[in-house]
Amino acid sequence: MATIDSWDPAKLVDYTALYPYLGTEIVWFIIAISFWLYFHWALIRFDNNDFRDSFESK
Amino acid sequence: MDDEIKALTVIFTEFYYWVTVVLMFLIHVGFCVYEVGVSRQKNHLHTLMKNTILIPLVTVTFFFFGWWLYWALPNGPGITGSLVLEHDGLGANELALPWTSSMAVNLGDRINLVFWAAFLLFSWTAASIVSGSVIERIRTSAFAIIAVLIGSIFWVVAASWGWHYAGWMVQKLGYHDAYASGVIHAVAGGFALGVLVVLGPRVGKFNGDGSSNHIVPQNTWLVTVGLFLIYTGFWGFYAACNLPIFDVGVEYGGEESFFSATNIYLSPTTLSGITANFLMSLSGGMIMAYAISRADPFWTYSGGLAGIIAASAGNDLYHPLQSLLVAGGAVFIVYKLHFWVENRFKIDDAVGAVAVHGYAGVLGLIICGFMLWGYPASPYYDSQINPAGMMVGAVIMFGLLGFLPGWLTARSLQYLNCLRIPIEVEAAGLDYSKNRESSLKNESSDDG
Repeated sequence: MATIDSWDPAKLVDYTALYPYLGTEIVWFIIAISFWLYFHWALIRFDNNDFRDSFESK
Repeated sequence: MDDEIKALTVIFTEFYYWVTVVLMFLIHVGFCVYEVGVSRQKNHLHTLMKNTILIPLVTVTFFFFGWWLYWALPNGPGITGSLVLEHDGLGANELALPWTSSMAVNLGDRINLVFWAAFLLFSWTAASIVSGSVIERIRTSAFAIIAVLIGSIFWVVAASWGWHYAGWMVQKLGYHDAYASGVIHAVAGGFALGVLVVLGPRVGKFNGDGSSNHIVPQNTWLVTVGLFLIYTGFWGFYAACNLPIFDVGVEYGGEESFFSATNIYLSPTTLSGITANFLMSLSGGMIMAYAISRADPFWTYSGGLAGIIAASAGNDLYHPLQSLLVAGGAVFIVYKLHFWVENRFKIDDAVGAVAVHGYAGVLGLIICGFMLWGYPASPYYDSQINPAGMMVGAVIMFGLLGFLPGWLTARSLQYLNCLRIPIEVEAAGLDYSKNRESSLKNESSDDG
């Protein structure tokens, strides 16, 4: 959903935010937080598996 | 913007901070190169990737909550006002919430995000300082958590308290820390020490009789190039700590304009003066470190860095000759203290980060308290720089916001058995562990 529909000089002075889907920021924020937390979880899992495998290979 | 002078001022400021961000990127390149140079060959890739992964993690968390914390907590909370800082009826912290329109491309605000980016690069540095000290035995997943805590929370709280024109430490203690001796270096050095106490030394660092072995840097060229890159990026760091153009006349309540560069407290200084002080403190640190270490390249370069850090608290006001001697004197103590702590407490700080950043930062604060005794700490509040306030500030930075949370974090991770790598992996090398499968596949395909 476009926030800006014209670069008409008469309208420029009233423009502030330019990004699309204005008003949906919280949704993007929740998804981004989830993405970050998932990475930590995946990294811990990766390390645990990797070090367990290194024991088993001995 | 329809006023040409105002537009030039705003867009110049925007560009000024953008340039500092690009320069400061070199600090992180330098830290990566330096750490790999110090680590042994069997740990090169792990060392590189551990420091690299802090870039995205600290970036996103500094966007999520770090920037908000900086603007929210100058009051303590509750020490000099309400829970969060209010400014003209609109909490500045509200503008730093990650879902507000000012945290995006916005024709009404051209400074917020480039200023955010400059602070973010400081955050990378805080986390990277800890990264170097713990190489070759910490899990990447543990360091990822540590990096977020130091990079997006603890140094940010320190900055909010002591590196903000309305910070409670500035108002109540007369705290002054123009180029972050305390709020970045002492905090990160203290945090690193807290982690190291729990993490323990690398296998082979100390002998059964208590004597220590010097694990020499594996690639001196990488170490020196890395530190040269950190020096280079430090120029951007110094510039980013200033506001390039500020009307200190009208803003201080006068009737006539007087434009100047200012430090982070909005007190006047000059880019010219701090450039000389940067170079003189670098020189003082290098000369002392070269002499005391008998031309050891690792310590000569690190001493230059420690010299800058030790003079940074007052480098907005010192004479260049004062910067030179403050740096030289501090580096002498830093060097001696590093080896005393290593041998007395069996602390294995692989890159000397606790000394170069932590001890130098603490000394820089204490020396600044004496050197700038009586100067106003802020143009907006009735507080003066003084030795006692700076010593309390040093304890808060190194101990309360550095060592204590570092130690608690490491103890928590240790309790969960996810802090240190298994001893078998440490002996074989982390790259052996991480790349075992791909190496075996490559060998199989070669055989085939």
